[in-house]
Amino acid sequence: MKTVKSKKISNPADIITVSSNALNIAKKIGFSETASYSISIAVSELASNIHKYAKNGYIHLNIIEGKNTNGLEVVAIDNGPGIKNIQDAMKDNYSTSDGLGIGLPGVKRLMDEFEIKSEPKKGTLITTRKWL
Amino acid sequence: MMEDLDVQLVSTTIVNKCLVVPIQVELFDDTIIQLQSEILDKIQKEDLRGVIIDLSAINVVDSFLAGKLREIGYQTVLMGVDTILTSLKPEVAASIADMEYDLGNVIMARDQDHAFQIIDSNSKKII
Repeated sequence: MKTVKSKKISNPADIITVSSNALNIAKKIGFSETASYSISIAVSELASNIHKYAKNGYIHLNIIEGKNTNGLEVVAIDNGPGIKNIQDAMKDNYSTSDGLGIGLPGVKRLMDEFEIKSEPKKGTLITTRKWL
Repeated sequence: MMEDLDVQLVSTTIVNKCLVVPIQVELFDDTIIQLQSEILDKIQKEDLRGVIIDLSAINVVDSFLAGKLREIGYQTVLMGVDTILTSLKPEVAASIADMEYDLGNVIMARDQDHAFQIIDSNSKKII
């Protein structure tokens, strides 16, 4: 695994910067245009969630090696309020803010693998991967 | 430095009684909210036939932006004016479909010319 980008998320511009970084990295390592844009949206959703709920956090973009192919791993980590009910948060149309309520389930649809760990008042760690 | 910018400007123009909103940069959430109220304000003050939002420069339509576009579409329809989104990149269209966003009332057009054609034909129907 090689970390190619670690970005602190603390203001709206960071969300745009990191999703554009993800787009470029995905294209560079060989993802199709469509897949690269999907990754970029997933990163934008995760970074927006950090900004919205935790205020500060990090997005790490890692190039990973699988058995047959490489991929891109996106890790979103924050020390924010955590998610009280992960099952609810993964449901479509569920939102505790004024979003579409499609963020996390959407990210899961866009990526190949999705893991979430969260503890109330401690923070949230989301690891998601897409393979070439 | 991009990090230092906390204000973005989106300049709108009125062409042929349509409010044209060309979005040239990826938008901050606050900018979208500001744009939303500006659009509704313009509909009230000007005699508009339609709102055309040009998304050709946009790479990322995340759930917040999609939600706001849907809201704008619904609100403008309530005020009697259609909102038309134009010039989506194919990759962005694909990812909107993947995310299964519901854009509600908004009408999609290939480009601004197509958007004007749609508004013209809708106006004719009413007359």
